[in-house]
Amino acid sequence: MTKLFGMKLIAVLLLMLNSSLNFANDTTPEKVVAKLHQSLLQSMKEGGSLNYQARYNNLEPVVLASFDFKTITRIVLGRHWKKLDNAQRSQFIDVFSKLSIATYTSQFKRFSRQSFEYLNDEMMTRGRVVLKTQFVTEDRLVSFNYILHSVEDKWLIINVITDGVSDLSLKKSDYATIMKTEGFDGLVKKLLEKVRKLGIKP
Amino acid sequence: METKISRVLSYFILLSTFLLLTGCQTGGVREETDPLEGLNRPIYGFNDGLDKHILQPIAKGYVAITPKPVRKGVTNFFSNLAYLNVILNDVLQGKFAQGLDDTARFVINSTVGIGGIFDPAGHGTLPRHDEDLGQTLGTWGVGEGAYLNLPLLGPSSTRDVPDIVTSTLLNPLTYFAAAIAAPITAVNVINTRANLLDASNFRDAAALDPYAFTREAYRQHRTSLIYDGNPPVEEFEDFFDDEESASLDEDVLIIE
Repeated sequence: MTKLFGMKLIAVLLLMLNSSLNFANDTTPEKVVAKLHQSLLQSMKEGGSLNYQARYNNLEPVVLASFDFKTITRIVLGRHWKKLDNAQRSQFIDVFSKLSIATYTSQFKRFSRQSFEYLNDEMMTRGRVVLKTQFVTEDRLVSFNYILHSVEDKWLIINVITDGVSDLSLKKSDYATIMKTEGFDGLVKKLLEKVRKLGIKP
Repeated sequence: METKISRVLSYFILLSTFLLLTGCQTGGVREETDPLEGLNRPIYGFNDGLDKHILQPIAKGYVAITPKPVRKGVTNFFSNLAYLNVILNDVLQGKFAQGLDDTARFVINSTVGIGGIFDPAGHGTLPRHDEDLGQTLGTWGVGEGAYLNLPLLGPSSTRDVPDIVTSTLLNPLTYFAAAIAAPITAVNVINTRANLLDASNFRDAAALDPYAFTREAYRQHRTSLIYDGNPPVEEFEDFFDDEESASLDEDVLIIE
């Protein structure tokens, strides 16, 4: 028990050292992710009392402030991005962020004493940070690793890796065939349809 | 009995030799393409139809009528039954200490845990490990080869097919008469599908192209297992290289 406490203390001290050295600005990767997690837990707790739209509205500002959707959408679309005009780009960012909020709203809707635990974080190349956390449910642990980078002194999430599966790669792969067969408009149409369906699903 | 096993064996040895050979050509580099997509997609469609119309409804019914602790016991039982394959692959990967732990785990759970229904070893200090021949080949440097969608069995790859042989041969159930093994296997299939209901619900909610989604999720999950849950983090270097060279160009302009 003391050993565990000692380890936690060291972890906290290391973290403080880390924050004071590298993260001079007032947001830190850990704070960004902690805030997101807090809102997701809140959304789960309100799953019984608030309807989908209300929980969506609560999550919206937090998700929009936590993720760098501009970078995310560029990576997801890959080489197709360059062929889009500005209007299409902002349309895609808008639809994509709506889908992210809708997915969170529909997935985090039941609370049965789950919690998020911070594990550690480490610097990667080019100033990016990987922050490892786990989602603790009654019968299993799900690892949630976040990749963040700093944009204009703000730490923003660019990828979430759930149990080893990267969300960015998954979407990149998932959207590639649609982009090839149905083009940009087809892709946007399908994404909007997803957003709509997530909203009406009980 | 013996003829059944030898027939299964020769089929898989033939298939895996062919697949390993084709797989080896890709080396250790992860293939982005899916050379057998033309074959895989129809099989995915077939499996998916079977799943949606038969297996998934049965799995949902099973969850509805079976209490959680019972399902947990069923999952434990089949996981224990398949555990000799884990031990073999511990050894093949040079994880000897883990191999000893897993042997102790298998013995304790098979006896104290009443045929593996309970997991006393896991409550102690012997957690369950996930190893198979596909992961072993991965740690030996064999590339994943071509992505495959096998009829009934679902997502696989040329690297993962040989494991079907070892896991079949090392599963005690293989050596029981079909009249006993078949209904037990049916329970395993239903229970396994039930455990995947959350995952398939998420796929249905998120995927635009379920085939591509499943393929990517399978590949990444396998890579993660090969690295025992700590795969190297994807860097998306291509993207950031482009970004950097763009900003470098600007720097050069300023210097000039």
